[in-house]
Amino acid sequence: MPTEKKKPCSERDDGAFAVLPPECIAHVLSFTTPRDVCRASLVDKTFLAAAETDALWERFLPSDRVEILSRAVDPVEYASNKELYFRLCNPILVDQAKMSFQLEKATGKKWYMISAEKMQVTWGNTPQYWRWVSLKESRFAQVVELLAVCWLHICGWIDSRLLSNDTTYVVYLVFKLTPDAFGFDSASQLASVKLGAYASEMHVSLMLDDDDDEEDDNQGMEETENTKK
Amino acid sequence: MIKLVSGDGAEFEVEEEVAFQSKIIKDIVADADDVIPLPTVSSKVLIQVIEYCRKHAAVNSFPLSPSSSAAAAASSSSSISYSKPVSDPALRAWDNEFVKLNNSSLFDIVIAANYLDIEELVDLVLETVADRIKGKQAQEIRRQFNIENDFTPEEEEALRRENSWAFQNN
Repeated sequence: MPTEKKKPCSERDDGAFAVLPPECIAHVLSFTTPRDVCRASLVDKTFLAAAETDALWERFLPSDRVEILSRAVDPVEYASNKELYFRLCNPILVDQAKMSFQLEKATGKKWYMISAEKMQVTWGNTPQYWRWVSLKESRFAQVVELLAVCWLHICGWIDSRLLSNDTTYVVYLVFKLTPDAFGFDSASQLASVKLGAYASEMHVSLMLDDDDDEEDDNQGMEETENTKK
Repeated sequence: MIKLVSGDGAEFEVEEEVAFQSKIIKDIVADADDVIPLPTVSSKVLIQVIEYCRKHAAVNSFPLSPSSSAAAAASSSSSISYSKPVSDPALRAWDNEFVKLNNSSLFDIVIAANYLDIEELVDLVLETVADRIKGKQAQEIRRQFNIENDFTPEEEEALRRENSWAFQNN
């Protein structure tokens, strides 16, 4: 008779996965993360088979994925839930290409980007202050270029029900400085995030200290919010 | 009282609400007698399962909702069904102690719990096994669960390339 004494968890023993019904391995993996699943698929062929199942990836896909896919500009085609998962780890355009959606690969959390067109840019349609252009680095057809203003105000909204539950979110303003950008260093800018009664404000500087990063700079309005449900 | 008989012939008398943590036993009792033979479950494992059911029956003293077993039966084979998470912190702490067992003991319990259809116990044990996999590389998982690598080096290399993102540190 094997001993019934409680042993420390880390101790090696002969617990063989082979004794379990095959669907149990997918069930076990569903309690881990997509990253763990991809690592565990190298264990053996049984693990690999479990790591490919639709039932498992179902768990990592957002529960409202049918609704999300129905908002996609281009139809998303996939043969399995796993394929869909990795397809969605690259951004897709939704809502008449005014927003993009993707999953964070390691966790499957939802991530949205709002285009400039969908944001409220004060005087955005006044050509002497702002100019609408297309930029090859941008996923969106149009971005707005600031020419000069004395009052900078940009505001975007998202329905918090679109976001993943029990997740801390960070809001970023994605922008690119033109070579001759000026003015942001003279004073700091105010960034704020509001969710229901929660509000938080902080001062940021849109002028970066060094200009080695010529790509889209993520200047954080590093504000967090907890979605609850 | 309901009498459960293990595969090795040991008899255990338990209260209905304890035995009814198992949906299968609940169904059997509805149209049969009160002595239930469980030929595939050893007495060692049955003792552990009864201990779990007794604790959970005492805490969840409300009856199982009839819809929960219907919903489980209706769920297709392409999806995994889950029990409701245990919300009582004291019970969760008790559960955490209960699963401090070696892997083979856990596997024995999950096989019995699966057979007896005690969804909460299946989830508890499989989640515990999952915690022993999380953050580990394939080699460590093989060592911990005594699994033999049945891939050729070429197959393994191809899989490693395909999943290369998962091997980078955050």
